Amino acid sequence: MIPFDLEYYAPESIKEAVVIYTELADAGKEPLYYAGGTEIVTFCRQQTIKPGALIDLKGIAETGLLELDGEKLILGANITLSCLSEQGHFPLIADVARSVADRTARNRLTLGGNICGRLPYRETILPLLTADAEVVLAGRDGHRTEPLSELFDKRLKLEKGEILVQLILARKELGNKSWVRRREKHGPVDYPLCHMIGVKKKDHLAVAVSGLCAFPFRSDEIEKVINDSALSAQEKVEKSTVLLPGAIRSDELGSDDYRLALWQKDLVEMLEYMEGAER
Amino acid sequence: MEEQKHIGISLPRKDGEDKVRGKLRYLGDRQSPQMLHAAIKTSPHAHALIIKVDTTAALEAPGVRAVLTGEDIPGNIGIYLGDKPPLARRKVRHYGEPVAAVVADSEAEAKAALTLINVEYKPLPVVRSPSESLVENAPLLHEDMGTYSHIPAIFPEPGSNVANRTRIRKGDVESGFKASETVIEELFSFPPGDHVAMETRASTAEILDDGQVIIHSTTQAPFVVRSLLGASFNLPTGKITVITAPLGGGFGGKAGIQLEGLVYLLSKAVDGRLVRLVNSRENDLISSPGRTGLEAKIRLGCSKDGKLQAAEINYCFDSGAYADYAVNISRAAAIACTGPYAVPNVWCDSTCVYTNHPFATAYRGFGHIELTFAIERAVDLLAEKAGIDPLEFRMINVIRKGDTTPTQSLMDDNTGNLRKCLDNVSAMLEWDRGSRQKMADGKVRAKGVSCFWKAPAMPTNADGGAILTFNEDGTVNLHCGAIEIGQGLKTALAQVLAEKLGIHPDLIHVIDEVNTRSAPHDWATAASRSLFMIGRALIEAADDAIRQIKQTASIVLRCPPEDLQVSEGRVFLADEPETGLPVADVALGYMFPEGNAVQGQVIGVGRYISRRLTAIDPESGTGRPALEWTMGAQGVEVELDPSDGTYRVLKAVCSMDVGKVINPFLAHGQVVGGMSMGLGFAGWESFTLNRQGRVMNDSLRNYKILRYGEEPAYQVEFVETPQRDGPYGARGLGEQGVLGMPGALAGALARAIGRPLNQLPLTPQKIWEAGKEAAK
Repeated sequence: MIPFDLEYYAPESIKEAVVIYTELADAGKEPLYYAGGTEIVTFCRQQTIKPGALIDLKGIAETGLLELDGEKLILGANITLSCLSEQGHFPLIADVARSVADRTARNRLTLGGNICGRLPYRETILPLLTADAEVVLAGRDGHRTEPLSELFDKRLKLEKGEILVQLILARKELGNKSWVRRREKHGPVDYPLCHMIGVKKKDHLAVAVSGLCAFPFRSDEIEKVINDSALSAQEKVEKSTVLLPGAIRSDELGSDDYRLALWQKDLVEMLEYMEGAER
Repeated sequence: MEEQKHIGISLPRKDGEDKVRGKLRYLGDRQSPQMLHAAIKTSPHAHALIIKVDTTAALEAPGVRAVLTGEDIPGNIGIYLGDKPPLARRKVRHYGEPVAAVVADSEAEAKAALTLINVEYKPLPVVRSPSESLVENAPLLHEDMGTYSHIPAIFPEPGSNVANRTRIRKGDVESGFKASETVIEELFSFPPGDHVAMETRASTAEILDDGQVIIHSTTQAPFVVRSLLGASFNLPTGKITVITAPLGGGFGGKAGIQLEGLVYLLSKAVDGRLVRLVNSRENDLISSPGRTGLEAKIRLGCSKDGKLQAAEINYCFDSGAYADYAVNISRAAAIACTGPYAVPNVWCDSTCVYTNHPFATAYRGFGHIELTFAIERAVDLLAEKAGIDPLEFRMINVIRKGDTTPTQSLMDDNTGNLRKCLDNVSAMLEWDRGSRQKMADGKVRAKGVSCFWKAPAMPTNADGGAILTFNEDGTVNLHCGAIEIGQGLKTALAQVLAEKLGIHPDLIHVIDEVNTRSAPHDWATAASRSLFMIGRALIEAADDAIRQIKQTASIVLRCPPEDLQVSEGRVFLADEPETGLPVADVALGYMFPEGNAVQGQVIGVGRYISRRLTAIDPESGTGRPALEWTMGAQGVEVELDPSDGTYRVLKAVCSMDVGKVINPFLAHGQVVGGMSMGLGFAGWESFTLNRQGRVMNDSLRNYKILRYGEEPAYQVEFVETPQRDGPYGARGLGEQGVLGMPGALAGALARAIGRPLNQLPLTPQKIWEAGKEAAK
């Protein structure tokens, strides 16, 4: 149980949400935006966080959109992972969403929560990075739309009080040939040791990884290497390894050696798959 | 021989519907307005001095009635060894140890007050394994061990971290090894883990003005709780009542004394008011006990023809911070140390050792799942070195009637047919088609087998009883002291009684709640002995009831009672069946037409106490501690990807000699449930601890157990060599399903990767690392 009282607000618009947030923050009530709530509930139970108020964003219509609108796919931040795993517009993100946690948890987990929460995996960001998605944020100064790649560096750079509203993808990115492999310590319902996706864009193989390092990433340098036809697969793997943007994680899920071996094996397999796809 | 109507039938379990529909109320579901609620504050350190506990702010928090710390509670509690303060006193010995408790008007107020308690610690060096614990000059976890009270059968070693040592000295191991053509010596180990029962532990306590103490508890052993409370707090046991409703899983974790002592003290602190404490999942995993870890060293020798000659065994049980049941677990492991094999020369030292891990209590298998892993790995390695097929090697060595156990007690007519079990396992695994095969896609399929045995580890005077009363409609009430922990015991007992009385089990009402004030005494619902012992008591009670029914009927029917028969709800002349009465007419006394009433109500009484058990000699281990052995064989088939260590368990099989299967469906369920738990134990479940001894997976997010979809195909075949002194020939089977799984899984994976795998859990990373070793 959550053993302390807190205030609960259910705004119906972004504007209302931001106003409430500002008021509560100014009054020292330490508000938190609340979507699926799986992290919030866990930490509140343990009393490691003690927010004075929760602002439930799920009633805001624009954050619940899931629609193909002309040349754009709009993914609202409050779409649940179960919903995301069942939609057919963008199969790659369905595959990624389906691999997180279990069905019961996915019924609550949201796209926005997965991206903005405290756990460092943020796996749903991977297909958004490779698809060069745009991100719609809203705060005190209204809405803004930016390329995700400019606002995501280890995590999404939100201003205080800003809300992730939607992710927008170009239709042409939705059907690209893709490859996914998720590795766990032992059994599918767990955090990832290494979750990698590869996407064959028009003339460029894109790759994004979560779990291997302390943050999910898509790396220009690594993509330069794996798209260099002069290199053998082995050379691509070796050079990519050196270009990893951070230290390889070593923790109770798995050692850095094991993670590296899995990632390298999967990279080889992905490259072979994509090469085969070309023929 | 007459056909049995109600034995060997898969009667649907009596408690099934209510449980599946969520109608059953568990202890944690019950709340009342006057109840006060408790919460505990736990230690973030694995080993530290408690410098100061500041409770002033907590005492002033809304709704708070009392706050207790270790300083408020002198004395210790313990099942066999009095080593545990209900709240940590002076120092903490494991991560998650309770250091303070709050009683408040509501659960929320109690939990909120916890954050207001300030504890100052001074960390101490952490002892992280049994070997670290036994090193000279290792930090002592229990400096006052010499002052602890303990039962005579336990031998603590003050000045060390050894809480108990059990010795087996049978024959002469040195000459045994001399006679051995092949010898192996190897180390085996695994860390501690947890039971993860679906229902977390709960307890309530109330003290009435006349001094009566009323405890409700999720215990498997209400009579043990009663007697330990009496002994620990100097209360007459006649003034203590312990009441237990059906449990949501026990697995041994609820078998001793758990929260009851603390809750009693909390009630005392608030003038005897009713206080309730329910474990959160995290408390249940860490603050309440889990299961032991193990470090084992085994030296095993066999002659040229594969016959075992000698075993030199060291079992070092990681009991964690407190000894609880583990001193008896290490003892039980000594008694069964060789596994179900005939070994003429045995030397064994089995110790229970303190470490700064969360402490351990009884766990399904009680030392036997642990020893079986080690022995089965050793047997595999020895067979391999001797160039003998591992299944054949076991066949050569199975223990049989006339052989002696490590304690030199003779296996008698009741000995199970282990060879038949091995034959069945071989057939189910298709062992003769090969035990290792490389597939076209690079994966490797391999099989592993194991043998297991277990006798109940219990006091020599363990007992049970049964009382039968009748209702006006002729149905029967069955009253016994055993707890329904999910094992389907009550259904099986109803079947045994149904067979004796010749009525349908639906006409038997098994009393769900056990109240120590009114139920017949029962040692504990543990050790897979309830069906055996209560079954025997029940048969005696049924015979007693039948005698009374015949006595009354003989007056009415004017015939000798011995000419009568009781069946199908009637009592009638055996050779003139149409002459008789409904049992309902005599069960509460018989009334004649003109009004005279005779004889009175039928009350059937039965009891059973263990037969001819003895303690074991402290020097040699000789004795007869085992009531009956249930043994069997298991096997698994796996498919491994050697390039990354990932694997699937394709098949898990078991053949067990249970004497008589009372309810095939429930028996199958018990065994398969055990096999699943054993696989989880071997491959998935254990605590991961950091260097400071903190448990990193202290919640179900990170403590992984097997899920539907990860399970293999299970196959179970029972063998029925009668247990002559068991009810309808049955012997216990509740635990045995877990025992051989770790050994079989490790054996199969080791065969697949081509390297020994002697440590659990068997994670893909571990197997991959072994594979890299092989490649070098």
